[in-house]
Amino acid sequence: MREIIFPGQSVDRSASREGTYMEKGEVYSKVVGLYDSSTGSLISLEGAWKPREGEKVIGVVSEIGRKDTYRVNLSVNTEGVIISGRYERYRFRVGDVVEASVARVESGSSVVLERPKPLGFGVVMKIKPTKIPRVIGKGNTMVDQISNLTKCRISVGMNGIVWLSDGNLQLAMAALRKIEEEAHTSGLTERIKKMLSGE
Amino acid sequence: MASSKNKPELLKNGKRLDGRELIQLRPIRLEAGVIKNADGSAYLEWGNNRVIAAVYGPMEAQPKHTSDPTKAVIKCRYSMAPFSGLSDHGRSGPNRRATEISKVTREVFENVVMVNEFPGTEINVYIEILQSDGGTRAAGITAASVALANAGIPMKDLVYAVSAGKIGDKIVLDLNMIEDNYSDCDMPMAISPKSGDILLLQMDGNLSTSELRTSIQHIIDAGKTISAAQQDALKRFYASRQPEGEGESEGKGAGMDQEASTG
Repeated sequence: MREIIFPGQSVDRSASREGTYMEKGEVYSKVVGLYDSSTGSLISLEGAWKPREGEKVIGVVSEIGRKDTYRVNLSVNTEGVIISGRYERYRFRVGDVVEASVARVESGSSVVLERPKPLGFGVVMKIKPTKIPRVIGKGNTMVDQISNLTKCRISVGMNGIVWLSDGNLQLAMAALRKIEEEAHTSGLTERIKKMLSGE
Repeated sequence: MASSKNKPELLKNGKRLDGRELIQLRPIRLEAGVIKNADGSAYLEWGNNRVIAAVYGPMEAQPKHTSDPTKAVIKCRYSMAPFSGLSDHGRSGPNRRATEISKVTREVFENVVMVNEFPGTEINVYIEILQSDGGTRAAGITAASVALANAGIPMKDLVYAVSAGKIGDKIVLDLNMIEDNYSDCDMPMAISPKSGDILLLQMDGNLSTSELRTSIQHIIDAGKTISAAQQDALKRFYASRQPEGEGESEGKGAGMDQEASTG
């Protein structure tokens, strides 16, 4: 049974580390979230993105440094750095949209990126970072469904930036907004399917 | 406190001017997520008080020298709209009183927000009083607390605030403007309901030790009502975005936790 939980409410010791804190041996929630007492899962309903290693992110190149290093805007308080290696040389221009994965988190506000890939012409959309797992869906089901039904190419970054190109952009964007709004409800995949197939 | 000359009669037949019992809160109506552009927001009607609180952040601290590499800094701005007041608070802007209230509000939230999770950033809390009738700093803190939760900022607790005071020898709760001006004591207090920690305590007037104890007890008892209003506001915010005809209990399709993946 899932229920809405508030900061300071005590949760079971088995609850997920994310979204909780410990005080005097007791575990409490630190966010507004959906808590399932049987599985101990706590999903935050709102919140800023915190970078983690290995995550796929999308950003916009903001600055070109020396020796082919690039600075990439990932979120309001996070900046990514791309450093060209010995065998790989990257060429980007300011304003390019780049997909990359997080290699290392330097401090709270700076991360090193690896395997950057330019995304080319398309639309960049911001989604609340807490809703991104829902946009992706289990085993990519949700994002695959959207791209199949709208013929869009879609790339989703964990930092809350979604890049879209080709196909029925307007419909795909409307679907993404709907997911963002209704991420905490059940049966969403079906509703999105209905919406996209025009029923 | 205004002068004790021409002091109106604040208690009549054991009831207060607005017909309340001694230990009775004014009606509270709270709504979360009222400002689309903000990361989190709340609107509060508490008696005749009307308050809007909005939270932005965490974002890069500006100007840069205000940032702290070990934690997020909280910036608070309490302000009264020029049309909000009954008389003397009728000018908005950073005056002496607003600066003080901004400071005490900031200190309340510095104690509950997990600032070390976002080093080098700032969290902006804006509290705007649209209409005032005594106890606006308490109302501001109560609303800002909901706005912070609505912004998804990790916090130890959902703080509330309310004032207690003394009229003659009677302890009263949640003073309005007239009571505030002519009472023998006015004591706004912010409390972390989980632990009962006191995060703000200001006092205008005086109380004996036992009166202080009773006041704190009354505040903590009344806090349950305020906390419930805060939680209810957040619950309603998410329930309102539930599509029609689909309650949470309906097990149609997979739930969010099953479908979610960190992909």
